Amino acid sequence: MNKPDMDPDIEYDPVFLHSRREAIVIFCIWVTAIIWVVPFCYFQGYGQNVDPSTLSLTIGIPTWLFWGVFIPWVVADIFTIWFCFFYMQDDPLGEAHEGADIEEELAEMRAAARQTQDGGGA
Amino acid sequence: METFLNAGTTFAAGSNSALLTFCLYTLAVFGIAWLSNRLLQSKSFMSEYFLGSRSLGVWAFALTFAATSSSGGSFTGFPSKIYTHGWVLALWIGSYMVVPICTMGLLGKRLNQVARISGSITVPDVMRDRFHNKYFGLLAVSLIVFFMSFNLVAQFKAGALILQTLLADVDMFHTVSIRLFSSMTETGGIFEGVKAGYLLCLFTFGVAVIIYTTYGGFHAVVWTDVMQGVVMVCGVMIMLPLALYQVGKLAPSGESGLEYSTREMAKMTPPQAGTATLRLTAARDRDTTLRSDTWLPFTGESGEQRLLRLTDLVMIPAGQTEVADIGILELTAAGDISRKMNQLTASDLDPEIDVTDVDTTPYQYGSDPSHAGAYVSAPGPSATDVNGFLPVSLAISFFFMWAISGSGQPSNMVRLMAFKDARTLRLSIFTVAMYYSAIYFPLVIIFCCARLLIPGMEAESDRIMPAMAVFLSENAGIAWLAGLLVAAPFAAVMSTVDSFLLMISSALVRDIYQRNINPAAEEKLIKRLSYLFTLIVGTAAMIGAINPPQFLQDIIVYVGSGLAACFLAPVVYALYWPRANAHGCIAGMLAGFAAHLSLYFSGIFANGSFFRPYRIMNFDPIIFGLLVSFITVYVVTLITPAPSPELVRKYFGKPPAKPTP
Repeated sequence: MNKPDMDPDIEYDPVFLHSRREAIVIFCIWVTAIIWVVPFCYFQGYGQNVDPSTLSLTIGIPTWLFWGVFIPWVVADIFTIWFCFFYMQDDPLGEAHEGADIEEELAEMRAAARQTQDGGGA
Repeated sequence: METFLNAGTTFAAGSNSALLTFCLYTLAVFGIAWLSNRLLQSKSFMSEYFLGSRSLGVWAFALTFAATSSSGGSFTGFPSKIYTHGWVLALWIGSYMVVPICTMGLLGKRLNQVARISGSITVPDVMRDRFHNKYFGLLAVSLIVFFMSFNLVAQFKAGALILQTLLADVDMFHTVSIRLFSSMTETGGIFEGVKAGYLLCLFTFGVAVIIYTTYGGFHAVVWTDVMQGVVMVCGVMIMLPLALYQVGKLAPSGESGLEYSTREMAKMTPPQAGTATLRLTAARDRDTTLRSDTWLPFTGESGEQRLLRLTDLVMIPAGQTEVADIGILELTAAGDISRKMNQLTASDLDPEIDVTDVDTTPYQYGSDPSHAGAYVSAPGPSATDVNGFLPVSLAISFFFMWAISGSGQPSNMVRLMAFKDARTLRLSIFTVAMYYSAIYFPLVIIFCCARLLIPGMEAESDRIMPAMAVFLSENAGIAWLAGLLVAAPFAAVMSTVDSFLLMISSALVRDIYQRNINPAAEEKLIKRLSYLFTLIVGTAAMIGAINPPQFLQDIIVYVGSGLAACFLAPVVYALYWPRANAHGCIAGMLAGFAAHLSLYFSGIFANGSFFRPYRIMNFDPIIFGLLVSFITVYVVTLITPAPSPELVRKYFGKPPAKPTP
């Protein structure tokens, strides 16, 4: 499944493809959370002139926060459990090439030095 | 001879256990550093010292991530805000429901893989290797050192202040600080105007952190984070039932403690700060000293009961009967006054002191009758802002700030490079999600209850966490528990400071020295430099915190959002877009930095201060910074040449199958 901005000649690493798909799902859950929480709290909790005797509470929490933050928090936790245990893949992340970057740099420096020497000799 | 009123016996016993806890805690931390140092002998030094050999398992990774992210602010600033502004803080912190999955899941797996492919140890390493561009690495390291240096000084100061708060009532602390440091503070220079108690705390805290971080490296930081993370969650889990039980004892039968607490909060009006005159009925032949937590009841003009507390230490000299213009905080809610009056005993009161000339200022939002119930509704009471504590634009901004900006913090990214495998990542996301759920919403409940249990703490709201810990444990008859509870905020700030310290020294040793000055450096030299730079950076930050610039809390906010504006977009594109190139990402990093900075600069002209940034449509500058950065990377990348196919294959292509033997 290659996107327009991806080179069809390259066989892409499944770890990259899985990570990208998982990142998109996570971004969607963030969008869902903000769309649920902020408008709900805005309409139910902002600018209310509260009468203590009629204040609506659910298990001791102001009802607007119970449905606007507490319940979405529980739903987000359930989603996280699903994501971690049933969706996210255990991809192999590969061996760490400790010192590979430094070695590559040293090799380039030596090659450049050789080139200069050769250039000087010629 | 002096007369002391309200000697603060309530907090003294708890504070002694705080001192004991602090000592035990420090010993444990040193033990961990010693064990970690032994690991350094047997593995690749650089990778072990700065990245723990990429071997973190679930508990270590989850708790180091959680503890580092929830800095000292979570255990001092956040409880103080809940206490001051009420239930709306549940919305303020609401995005933490998705913070673990966003900050760990958005980048974690892929960043870890890319770092392994190149052998990168730091975030600038990743950027440099991914695009094979040393200028990008230098830009990234410059921004990190620029931002983090300010932040490190700020965090050292925060650590010292927290320790000072915890030990405020320990007599030995005052004696030792005066003996050791009073002569130093009199010498002037950088010590001018610095209090001896602050210096003692700064040096104790600073030396402890510098030693264990320098000696033990990344593993010492991670293991102390684990210990600190456990202390934090245990503290909250113990406080929650104690708070609900104790507030429940005030509730009428048939009503739960939390329900009673919220209904009483709905009736509350904010206290009012101001000044008053204190008058003794007759002059005394000795000085009369009144502590800052002294309560003074008096009768109003129409015979009503009024009650105020002092906000500073006050002394009425011998032979005088009056002091004018002293700082006070007056309770305005009838329920608060009656609850506090019930707590005061005869020994707390001095019937020979009268209060006159009370002059107070109401809150900008919350005192007016049209804002009734401000503590249980949004935007919450505010002493300074007519729009209230949390206008809806700020509520949206905080969704970006915590979840998205958190993903863009290089200190979090380093941890994402250190876990062992993908299984560790997914189990850690789950663990941190449960961890935050167990901490943040319960904290809101605990400190809403605190409004009923300990009225009038607005005068010193940063002390509400230790005050509540001592209050709850002593009322439950288990005073020793206070030691564990007050250790939580200290643990939180320690775990933030150590990881920032290691980030700066890794930037200097790895990104500047090894990668740009001397790539052929022997491991022995690198090892010495790593110890040396960690020691030097830590000591320099500690010295910077002796007499730090003002606005440190604002600097922490600026740095956090600034780093995200610089790093998030380039890292996201670098990891997920094969077409991304160095030109685009460098441009995006600079554009994010400039856009964010320009809004802070505009604040000087629009609002009179750099730290009161200009807010487009009242949104935080982080949103504008991120937007500009993401757009710039995309546009500049498309109009500049594509990266070389070799580079794309290296980081995006399927790795060749291992040859079978």
